[in-house]
Amino acid sequence: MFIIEHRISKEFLVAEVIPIEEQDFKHITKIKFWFNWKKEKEHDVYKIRIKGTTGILGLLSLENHPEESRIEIRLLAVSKENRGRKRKYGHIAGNLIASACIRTLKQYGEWTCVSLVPKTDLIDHYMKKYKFQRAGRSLFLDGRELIELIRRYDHDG
Amino acid sequence: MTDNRQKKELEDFKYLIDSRHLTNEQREEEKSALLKAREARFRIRPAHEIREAKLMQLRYQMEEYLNKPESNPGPRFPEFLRIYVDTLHKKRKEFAADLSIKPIILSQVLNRHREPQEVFLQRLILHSANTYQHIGKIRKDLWLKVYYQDKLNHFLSTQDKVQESQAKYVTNRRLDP
Repeated sequence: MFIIEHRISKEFLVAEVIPIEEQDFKHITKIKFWFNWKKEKEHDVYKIRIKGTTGILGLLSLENHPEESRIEIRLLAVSKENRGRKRKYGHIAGNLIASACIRTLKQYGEWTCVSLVPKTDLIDHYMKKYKFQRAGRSLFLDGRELIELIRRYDHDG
Repeated sequence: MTDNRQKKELEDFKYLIDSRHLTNEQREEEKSALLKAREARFRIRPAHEIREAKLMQLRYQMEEYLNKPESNPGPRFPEFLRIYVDTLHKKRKEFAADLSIKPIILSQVLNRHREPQEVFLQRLILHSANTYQHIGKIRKDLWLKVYYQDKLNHFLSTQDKVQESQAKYVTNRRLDP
């Protein structure tokens, strides 16, 4: 169970990360979600929304590499109104990354790994905030750090 | 671009990730770099962290089974129990001792030669609660729900055949409209 926070009221709301549906693409614009998400249709694309509502707060596209027991975050976008210092809801990006970690953990157990290729200027941000490790141009999460990220964002149990 | 605009754009990019921009050659390099770094970390990973990952994996797999029982109808209870036991102990009789049951009973449950009794299930639930206490918690009813989901799947998959043979014993008339 994922939780997002309304930044003004400080209210916590239950969110869910679920596979995207064909009709969602009508509401996914480049202005709101930065990238052309229609190009991701052949990959595993997920949306995050407040449980019981339909508005999409963020999107995630994953590429599975079973031969390496690894899932790569191809694309991630938080909706425009939830980016930056004046964002409406908090923890959207973290919840999306944690959901990728859960998916890979479920599949690969102790070998599990989530990777991404960051913008150079943001390497430190991902390493500090989510405890990503560095390898070449990529950042990755595995082992203890991956489990801890899941614990931080998944409030089930 | 002004400093302020650059800062704002960078702040925005904390909420955007795009890993697609590498060439095929660069992807191969990344693959090698990642494997090398992961192997080095795995070599020094303590046994308790590996066990933790396996137990977390088990918990999520059981939850997935309850959410989508049709994807792999099972029976899954003995399979999940085997993973749980083998993750915690090198010898299954050690787990049987944890639950104060005879090893033969555990073996029969694992091999589907015996149904777990209520006492077995209750002790398993208590055992799991202790195991998962410092790992990430486990829903109290998870094992029970998995067990009964197996039963439900079995009932649903055999009901047509069973009903066919039982129809002759049911004699009520249809209600008039």
